Amino acid sequence: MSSQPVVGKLPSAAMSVIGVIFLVPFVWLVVAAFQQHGSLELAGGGGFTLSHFINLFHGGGSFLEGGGSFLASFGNSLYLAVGTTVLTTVICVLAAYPLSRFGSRTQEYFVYVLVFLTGLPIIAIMIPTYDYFVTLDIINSKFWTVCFMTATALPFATWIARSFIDAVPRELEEAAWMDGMTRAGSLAHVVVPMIVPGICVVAVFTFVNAWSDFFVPYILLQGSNNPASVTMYSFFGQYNIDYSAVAAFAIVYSLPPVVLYLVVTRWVGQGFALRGALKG
Amino acid sequence: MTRLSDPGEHGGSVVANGNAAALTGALRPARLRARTRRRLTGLTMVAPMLVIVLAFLGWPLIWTLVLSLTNMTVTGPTATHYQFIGLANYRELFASGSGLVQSILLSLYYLGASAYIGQALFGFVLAYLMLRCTTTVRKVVGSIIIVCWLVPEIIAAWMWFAMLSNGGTLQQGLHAVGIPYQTWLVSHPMISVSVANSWRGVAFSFLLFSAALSDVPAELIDAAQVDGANAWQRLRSVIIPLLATTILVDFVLITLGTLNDFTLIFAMTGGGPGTSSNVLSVFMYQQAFVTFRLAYGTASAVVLLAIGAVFSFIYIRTLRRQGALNFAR
Repeated sequence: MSSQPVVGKLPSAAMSVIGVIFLVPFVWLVVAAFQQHGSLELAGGGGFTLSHFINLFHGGGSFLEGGGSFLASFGNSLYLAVGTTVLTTVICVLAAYPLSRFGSRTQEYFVYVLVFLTGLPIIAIMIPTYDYFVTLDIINSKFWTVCFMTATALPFATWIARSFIDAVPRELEEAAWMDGMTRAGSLAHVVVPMIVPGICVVAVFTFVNAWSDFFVPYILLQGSNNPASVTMYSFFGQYNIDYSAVAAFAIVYSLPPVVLYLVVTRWVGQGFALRGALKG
Repeated sequence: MTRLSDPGEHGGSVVANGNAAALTGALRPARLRARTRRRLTGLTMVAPMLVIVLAFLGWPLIWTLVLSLTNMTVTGPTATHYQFIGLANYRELFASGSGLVQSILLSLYYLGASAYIGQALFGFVLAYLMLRCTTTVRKVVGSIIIVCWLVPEIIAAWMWFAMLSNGGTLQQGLHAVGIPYQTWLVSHPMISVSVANSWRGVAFSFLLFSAALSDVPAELIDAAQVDGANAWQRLRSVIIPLLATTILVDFVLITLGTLNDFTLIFAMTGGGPGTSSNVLSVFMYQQAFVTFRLAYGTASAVVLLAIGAVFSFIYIRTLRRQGALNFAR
């Protein structure tokens, strides 16, 4: 550790400037949200007010097209994100266990397929998926959209979950079996408690992705089923837009992923979260 | 649900293995049963994933290939009564004037500008500089960069859309420092979306390289310094070779991520003005849902899939070589 790079004034100054530049879009967003009549410009939007945030939760959003309210679109986002997260987390841990423990040639290829699917551009299969959903008459259903989003999240989630289970010593489980525990028992009482941090990484990753997803709900859902991302899209290119209301909406919509990430990385450590998310 | 337990097998065999009798033929059927049982257990546990992935990824994937060989549209008679027309969609796609070639070139531009320069290279520079910063700067600036990445993509698109629109903050700011007044989304759509995507995505490469850089053994850098290597030589001959795998992983992952990117460009420019920012993903969407030629759009999706498949394949090979997919632990 003797020669950790020397801390210098120049790099610190350079990074500070970069940090400020990165902050500019947020500054605009926050200023607009707390101004009375925010606009594209920073100045001249009137004094400080919280009314745009309060309006969000009081059936606000009268200018929202399609009759949906802000709250409803947050509710839809929550449904999609929580549904996808719960399904994905449970199913991926179940599937990862045999993939980690019962090593065989078949399982090896299985993991290759998973990694391969992880990399495939999901947007490329959206057109046939749309056709498929129309044919089966499950289009514009939040439940089936959750199923689709779960399928897209599972390859990656299973792959990571497997690497977390790999790290649990087999001897611990064997000891539990000697005590008469079943395999399901040892999974539930020995393995799962040891991979709680890993499960959290998987869950947060899945939640953030599902919460932010735009293209999948844009194709598969419509009208009152639209989540916040699609509602947000409806504001692009509109004239006479209430920038302050949209900015308040944008801030509230952005908070859950940011807060969740910060809480979880503080808890399990950023390095751990990153390793889980990248290398397995 | 089927029973997931096989207590007899493991609990039993561990004990039995110490016994010479375990090796005699008499126990073989029991062992065979145990293995079958173990396989069944495994299969039961994998089943939910298998079902959902096959139904919602596997089938659409196959359907993509099938659909691309038909003349299906969203509306009209061919919406339900479509026919197989062989490779006609592909022939049309690769014929001149289809716009596919332009879209591929724009996708390459987007990859080069926003992924390779704006994320990988810039992310590396940020990570390298960050190691030389004070703890406060590291924490504060690091958090800002990460928050840019965590914000939903559509919000990132909205902020940049507003900043670069006519009358937007950035438009005014750039004008103030002497850059001609213009609506950036119209005059330079590709630069606009590339800057936005770099801003949003640089955190990923930055985090990846930060972790890798802090793993570089200090002794190696010390030794190079003692041998008289200057900072650039240390970077080029010691650090970068050590980071080779990380660099490859980063390139593959951001390539896949950028190819899969639709939201940012779709929301900011919609592929326009005209077709001047019509990258492959937006091109595909427009063929299918704007001109309603579902099958034709699917054919361009197959092109996208093929490119993605190549990079996925490189990714697997890299991970394999790195040992990340090892099974015997």
